[in-house]
Amino acid sequence: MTVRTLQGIAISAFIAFVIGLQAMAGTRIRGPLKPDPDRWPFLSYPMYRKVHFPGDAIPRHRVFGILEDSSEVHITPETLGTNFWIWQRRLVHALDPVDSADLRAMAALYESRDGTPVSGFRLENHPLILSAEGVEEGAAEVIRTVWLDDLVSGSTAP
Amino acid sequence: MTRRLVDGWKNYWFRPAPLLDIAVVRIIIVGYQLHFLWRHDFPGLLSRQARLPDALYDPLAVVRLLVAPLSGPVRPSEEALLIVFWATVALGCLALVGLLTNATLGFFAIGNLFMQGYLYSFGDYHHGEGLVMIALVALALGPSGRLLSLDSILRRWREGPRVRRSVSDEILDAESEFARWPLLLIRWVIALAYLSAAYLKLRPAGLAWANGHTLKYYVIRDGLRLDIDIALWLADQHWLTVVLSWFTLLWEGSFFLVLVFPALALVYVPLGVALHMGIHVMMRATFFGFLACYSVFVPWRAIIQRLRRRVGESGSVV
Repeated sequence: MTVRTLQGIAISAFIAFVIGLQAMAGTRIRGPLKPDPDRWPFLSYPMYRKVHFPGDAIPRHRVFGILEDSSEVHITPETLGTNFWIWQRRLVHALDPVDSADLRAMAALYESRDGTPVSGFRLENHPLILSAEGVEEGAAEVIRTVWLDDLVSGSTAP
Repeated sequence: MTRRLVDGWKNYWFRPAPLLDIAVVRIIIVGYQLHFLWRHDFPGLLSRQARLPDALYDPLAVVRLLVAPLSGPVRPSEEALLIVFWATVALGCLALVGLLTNATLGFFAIGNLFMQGYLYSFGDYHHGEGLVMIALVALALGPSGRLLSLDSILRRWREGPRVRRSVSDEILDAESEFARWPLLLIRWVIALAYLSAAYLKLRPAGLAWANGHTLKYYVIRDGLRLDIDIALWLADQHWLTVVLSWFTLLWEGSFFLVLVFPALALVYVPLGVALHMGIHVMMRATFFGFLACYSVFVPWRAIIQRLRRRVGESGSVV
């Protein structure tokens, strides 16, 4: 067997590996692997996939930190020195449903930047309602208030 | 039967192909990635992520794999990340000019995999960069530095006066049985990505995705968040959102046809450029890495040969 033949076999195995992994990722067949994004750079491409109709709500979340003196501060990606996606995935999503580890990490991040400890978080939604003509304001709602002390026992105050 | 399959596989992936094509693609994709690192201020991004709490750090498999031999499960320090950044940029510059191309391009790919993977290890990840990473690895494993490189200049210099042929003849004539597969593989990954996008849109509710309201929903959501006036204008044009939705589904779902009929790239690639530019303008979702990788659909040698003939003909007329 020549070196070129061996080279061809090795490359063929690489080609099959890449196409196989991308095909599995693209169709969301997990196999023994974890889901996206763990097998990055092999990903599925589900952006904008959910179907919507008039009447659907476009969420607009706001997060407030509750300080020890009961005052409140609006927590944005800029407040935390991070980007929109980390703010949304590690703070907003950690408030509904509650993810204690992420909330503690976000509280620690806020305190490290501002020097003020956070006692709790409140998640609000100020949605827009999709209509045939465009959008209209929906009713604002408090989705959840979470006190960090309560996270020890795993309970939350809605 | 097995013999025919093996021959078919060899003929598809390992048919001799122009070395010029893969060399041009190397320059475009490496150049794009170097520009990407600068444009997005990677030193700033890496420093910012390095200061996030450990509790938010959930390293991707590729990062765990690359870090394990060096520091085990320990999170890389900010200093280490910045060293990796500068080393990667230096290697990228060498890969761009083609010095020790396979090695420098290979380490450039690894450096990028590590840095981008690290940035994506905090719950924030996007879809535009993965293809470029795969492309860099494929190019590093192919003969992408055999032409248009310092390697080729040094080789000619070492060979000395024995070389009779002109540089331009060598560039246009040189072929290799390993010059085709990296470009084909990148085409395959592009086609599979688009097929995934169409499949995952159709899976939940079929063609209802193209009702116009779905696109309007996302355009308004992103337009308001990012303050994009033209997106809000688009959301008011229902007929246009319906047309664009159908176009997106059809284009993504049938892009794989360029693998079977390569001439269709003449239609699909320009439409793809228009689609990605439209998404960038309307929703700020950037897929410029895909556009750089579209260079694999361009028959560079054939174009240059045609231009050369045309210049030659006009020269002889003069």
